Amino acid sequence: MIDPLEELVINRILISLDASACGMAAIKAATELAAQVQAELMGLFVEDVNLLRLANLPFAREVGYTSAAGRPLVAPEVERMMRAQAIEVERLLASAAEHAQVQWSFKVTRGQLLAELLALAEGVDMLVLGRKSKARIPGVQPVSYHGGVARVQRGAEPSHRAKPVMVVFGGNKTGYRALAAAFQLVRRGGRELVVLIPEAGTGGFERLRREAGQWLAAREFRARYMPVAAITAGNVAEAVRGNRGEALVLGNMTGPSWQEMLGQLLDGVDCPVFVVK
Amino acid sequence: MTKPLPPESLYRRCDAAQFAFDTTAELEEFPEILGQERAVEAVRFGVGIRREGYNLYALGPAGIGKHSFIRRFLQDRAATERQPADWCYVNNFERPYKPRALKLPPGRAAKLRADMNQLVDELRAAIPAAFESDEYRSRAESIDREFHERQERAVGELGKDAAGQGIALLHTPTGFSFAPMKNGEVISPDEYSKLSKEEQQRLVEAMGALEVRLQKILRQIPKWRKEAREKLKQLHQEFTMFAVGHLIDDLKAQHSELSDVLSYLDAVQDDVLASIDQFRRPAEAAAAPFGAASEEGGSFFRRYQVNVLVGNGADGGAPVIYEDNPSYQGLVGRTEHVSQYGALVTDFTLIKPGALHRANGGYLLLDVLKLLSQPFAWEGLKRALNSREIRIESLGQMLSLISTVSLEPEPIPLDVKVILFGDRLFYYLLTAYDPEFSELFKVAADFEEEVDRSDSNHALYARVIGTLARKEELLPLDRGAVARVIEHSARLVGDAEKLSTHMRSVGDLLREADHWAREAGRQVVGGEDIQCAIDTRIRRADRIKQRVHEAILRGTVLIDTSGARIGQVNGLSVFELGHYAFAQPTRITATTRFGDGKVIDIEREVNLSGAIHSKGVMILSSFLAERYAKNRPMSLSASLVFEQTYGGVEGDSASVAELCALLSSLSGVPIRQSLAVTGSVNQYGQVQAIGAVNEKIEGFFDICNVRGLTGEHGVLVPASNVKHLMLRQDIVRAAEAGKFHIYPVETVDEAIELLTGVPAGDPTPVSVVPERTINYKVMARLAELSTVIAKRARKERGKNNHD
Repeated sequence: MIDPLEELVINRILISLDASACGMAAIKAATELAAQVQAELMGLFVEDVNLLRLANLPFAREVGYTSAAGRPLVAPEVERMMRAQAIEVERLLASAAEHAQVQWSFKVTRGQLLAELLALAEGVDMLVLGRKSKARIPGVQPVSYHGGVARVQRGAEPSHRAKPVMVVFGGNKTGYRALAAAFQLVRRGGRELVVLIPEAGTGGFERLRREAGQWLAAREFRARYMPVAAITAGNVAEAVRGNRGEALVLGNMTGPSWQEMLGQLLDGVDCPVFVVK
Repeated sequence: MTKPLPPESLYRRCDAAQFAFDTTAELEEFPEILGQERAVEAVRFGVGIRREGYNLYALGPAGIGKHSFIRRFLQDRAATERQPADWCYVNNFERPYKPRALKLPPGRAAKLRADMNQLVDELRAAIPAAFESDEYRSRAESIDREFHERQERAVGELGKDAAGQGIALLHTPTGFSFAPMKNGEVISPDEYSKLSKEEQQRLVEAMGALEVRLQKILRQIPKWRKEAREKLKQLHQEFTMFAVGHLIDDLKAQHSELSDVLSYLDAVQDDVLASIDQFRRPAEAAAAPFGAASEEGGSFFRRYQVNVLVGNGADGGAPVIYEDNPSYQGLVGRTEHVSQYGALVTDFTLIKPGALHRANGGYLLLDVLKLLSQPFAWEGLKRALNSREIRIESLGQMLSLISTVSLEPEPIPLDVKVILFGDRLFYYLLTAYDPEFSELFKVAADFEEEVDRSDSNHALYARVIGTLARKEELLPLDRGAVARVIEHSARLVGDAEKLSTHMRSVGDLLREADHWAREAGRQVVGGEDIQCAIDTRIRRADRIKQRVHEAILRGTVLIDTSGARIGQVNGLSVFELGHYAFAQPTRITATTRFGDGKVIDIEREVNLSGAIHSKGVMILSSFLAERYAKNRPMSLSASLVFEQTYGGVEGDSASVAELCALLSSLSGVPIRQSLAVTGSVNQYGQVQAIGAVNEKIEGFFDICNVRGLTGEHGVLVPASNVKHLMLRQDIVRAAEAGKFHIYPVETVDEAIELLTGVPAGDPTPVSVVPERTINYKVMARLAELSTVIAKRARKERGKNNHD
């Protein structure tokens, strides 16, 4: 049997930063993990090049999220806001990392988020991504059923049931590494671990469940196992949302569809995504 | 000449042989009150009549047994009466500053309180459990997802439409924007400028139209969110009702006959549905800081508590409440406050009952002196009785002195019989000065301070003594002791024919006698123990008396008890110090001279005379004029003085002595100093009764006894006071031995005869007054003074004519 813990050496964790609530959660989770495995934390803030281009167009306008009012979009103002965001996330990262006594660095690049992230991912052992807001409207708070109708601040909502960490386990080497990384996340926090196992694929659900179970049992840990039809962005996102996952851990993949899948996955979940290489 | 009283008249003994028992242990209990038939009838009437304003005022001095009798009477009666309703305050969910009063059958308030506490405990467990269920989570998630999908779909469709036109929907840090795209990227300004004008125009128009659609979508989002919230709210209510409904229905079933409770439970249910978040919070989040309201859960849940103001137990009967601290708030109740964040806050759970609440439906006993001593307590009581409801207000609220927000608890209907205890003085003062008093206290129970002394009452008194001894767990008394207590009781009221009803004094005597009997190792209290108790009590109290008598015996205060003096007589003065009274002889002197008919009372001239004393002196002046100067001017000036008194003189009991001193001075006949005299006199020379006759005789006897009794010593007392004589045994023995005499006198003539040994002589008709009598000598002296006046007048007239 593969012992991923022995092979799970994480020296550098690359984390994409934004100032959303999910981004905050990503910083927190990544910092905890980095502290456990004594890895270096590399913060990355990507200034969206499309947005900067847009701001330079003569007709550029913006419609406010909450006011729904249209207004001209001016390039200097967009750049100023991006700089302000970068400063803010750097401060947050610094604060969390220093508190956890983790070595850290911070970098600002300009480009498209995933492309920049994957480009920088060559030299790191793990990627941590906050939600890449796209279809959902940031600032427009979801209807929360946890805090009652009068309280809609998701970040502050109380939870009577601890949110689980979700991990995609396909039985291969990256699957074990993902399982090991997820185990690192849950072992100290007392959280639940939900293992997503594809029904279709090598070995089938039961075998993979048995393997994962044995591996965890050896560490005196029990997880919940959940079948998914296949490892697709839609299936995984639905499972994470349905379980109100606190974090999603999955192994790195390759190929042209990986970036697209990762993009869809980030759009589909409200929690940080850990990609173990 | 008036004869001295026989010794048996000086002390009316109680014959122990009349009693058929050996000790009081054999006697039956005496459950009633002795000699208070009038008061008992009044109490029965006042308690029995159930009409407005028929409250009772029990008049009489403290210690007479009013309290214990009325309380016992009421307790017996109340035990047969219906137990009143329970009252409690509960939260008014609509107007929390006006707590609701709930009336419940006896014993039910405590149950409702326990039920409500249990309900809250169950709700705090059941509601979170309902919201943790998979069903709830699934349905709530569905609503959430529907909301998100709705907005995502709308925005997504817009994005697709935009993409179809070569335009991308982009996120900006604070909103959305549209941009023309080329190869997956926003076109640069250079590229844009290279586009044809028509294409640029198309793009601008398309983006403008898309912006309008986007704005429309964004403006709809709050409405969608509201709809989603409404659905979620309905879901919450559905789940809460599932958890709450059957619990409250169970409670309603248990209190189904109580419409007020049912409506309260409806209000509770509505409030729970509106406060779901509070029930879903962790326990620590609902707790109050600083422990301000930590009891029975968090502060929020206090709103469901039941504040039992009056809860009746299982023993039944109407309440009989004695309030020994009848302050305003002690009567009408109060609202307490607790400190929270440095401010004082309150709620309905801090409402505390007053005596009126506890006595509602029964009887409230109050001491009028304590009541009137407490600021606004009397006003508060009257207000409650007049309005027939108990309204809990602070003094500040009642007087409109403060207007800060406080509670206004719903008033509670009042049905109570109030019994006030107090001295007669307060009753008469209240009647005179408070018009409402007579309206509210229509029944007066006037308690006697004494009862007739008869054989039948002796027997009853013995039972009273036995009952007291048994109640106080004292040693039983033998017959002699009972007889001695009865004799002492007569002495307490200063009347040989009466007995005291002051049971506190009798009780004190029994307790002290019990002590002495136990000290002596006896199992039964005997007469000697009673006497010991009396003697030791006097001994403890008579320090001042001893000092005063010592001053006389050492000659510091001049009192003669032998020989005879003109114009000098021994009067008797009484001092009351606390519960102890004693007397001392006082030298009274009179001087007479030529004058215009005035009798000068030196005490009055220096403002040391009380009104009654001055009245007595004026009466004796009138007597002199009536008897000796009917047909001619009284050419006399006289001065009277109480020698060596340095305080005020009050009372008219020395007027006989003063008159005798005057007659002695006028007649020139000396008065025997071995005698003392007491008594008041009227204008016709009749001697009238005075108070404290026993103490006065004893005061003179003590001085004479120390100096040595010769058989000449004695005291003249009004004949009408003979029935009051209950003298000490040493005096009775001295009288039996002929060493000390008590003379009853009816007229001044009898008194002056005894004092001087010279007959008074019948003053009417004046022309035949025999010589060698006092009256003759007085008239002769007055005639002499008149002659002097007449001569002087003639001389004056002659001088005027000559001029």
